[in-house]
Amino acid sequence: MSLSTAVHEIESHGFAARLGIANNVDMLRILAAQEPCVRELVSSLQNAGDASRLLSHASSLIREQDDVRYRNPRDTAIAIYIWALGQTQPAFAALLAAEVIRAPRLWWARKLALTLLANGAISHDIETVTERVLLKGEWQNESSTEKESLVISDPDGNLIREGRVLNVNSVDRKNDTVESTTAEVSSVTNRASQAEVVQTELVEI
Amino acid sequence: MGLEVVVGLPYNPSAASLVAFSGHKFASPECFVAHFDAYIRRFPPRSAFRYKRMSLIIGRGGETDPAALRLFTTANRRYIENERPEEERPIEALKAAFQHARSVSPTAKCRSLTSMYNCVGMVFASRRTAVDCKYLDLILRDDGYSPIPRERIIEGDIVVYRRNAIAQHVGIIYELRDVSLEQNRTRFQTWVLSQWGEDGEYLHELEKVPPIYGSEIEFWSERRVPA
Repeated sequence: MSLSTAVHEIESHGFAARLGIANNVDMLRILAAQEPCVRELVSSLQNAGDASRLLSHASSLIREQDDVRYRNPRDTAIAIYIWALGQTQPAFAALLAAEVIRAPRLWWARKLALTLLANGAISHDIETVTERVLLKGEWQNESSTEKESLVISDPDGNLIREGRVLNVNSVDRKNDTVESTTAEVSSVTNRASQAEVVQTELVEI
Repeated sequence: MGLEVVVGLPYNPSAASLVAFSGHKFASPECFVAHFDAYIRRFPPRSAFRYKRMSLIIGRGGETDPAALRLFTTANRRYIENERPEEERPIEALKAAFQHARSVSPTAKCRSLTSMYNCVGMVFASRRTAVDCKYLDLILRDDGYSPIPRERIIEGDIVVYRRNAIAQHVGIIYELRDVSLEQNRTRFQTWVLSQWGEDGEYLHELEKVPPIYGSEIEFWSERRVPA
């Protein structure tokens, strides 16, 4: 099976129907992994050129305007592209995920994108992402400074209630310990503690 | 999706690390951007840093998510995360889903083809939203459900499908069809009403569900019968 055949199959209604019985993202991933066309896709995406072409293609699917009353008919396909890129080219997956979470009429794709972003896959290779953003012309036209996203779980709403996300002042510069309210924030701040901390004081304007 | 704001993150390309520097309350994302720009002007990035604007999504599906329903367990008032799909899937896609369902369970009868809720949302949220199956055990426990043996089930009880002991699917017992062949021996065929994924609601035989839902079948009931 060629990559184009696999892509054609993944974008079919039949494929979406087979994966549509999933009740959650984990189930969707298990069902996807059972599909020969998805295995072929993952195998092909080891090649960065193919991955780049798929990224452009997926990006065009997101912007496709058909009947806007309904969900994007390629929703499941885009979700699988994020997942497959996440397996092979995390930097590309991060780019696609960042675009997907701003796009309307997506369900599975948005869930996969948020899962990817929440798991921090976007930040570990952020330099590579930035470089590739600048290399790719069609992405360059848009503001490349707004391509990244961060997802933080806040089930109790504490972060929002308290009006804070992560206060840099809670990072102790002497011993790099960090106080945080959730495990997810803790993971973010662990990464943060490796960086030079900039003391901030926002100016009222 | 949860509250979405734009947040500035000093970005260290050598360590590829991030530090969020919010700690202030902003009326809107635009307000934050204005503050961010002012901050950049006052404290220009040092050579080791570049600044990136990032979208931050906090607490999707949670109590603060405007797209979620305020859904709580009955007894302990614990919040149940949920997400409401905004659009229906295209008709062609739903038809394909129906064809697939019939291939999995040829005797299944489609009650409704919609993708606006999932199985947990159908059973516990009146078909209004989608709730992850990971909340099933919490709901059953908090809402006073008890496991019951198959011989005691009646219409309206709940069936839970598990794979490796993890809840994957839920449905409502719809009919106990008498299929007795011998006069002295009663045998019922159990029919279930459940939403398959987010692609359609089906009346189906108990065991005839997609294999991904698992083969461990449990029955639960919240019935309270006066003595």
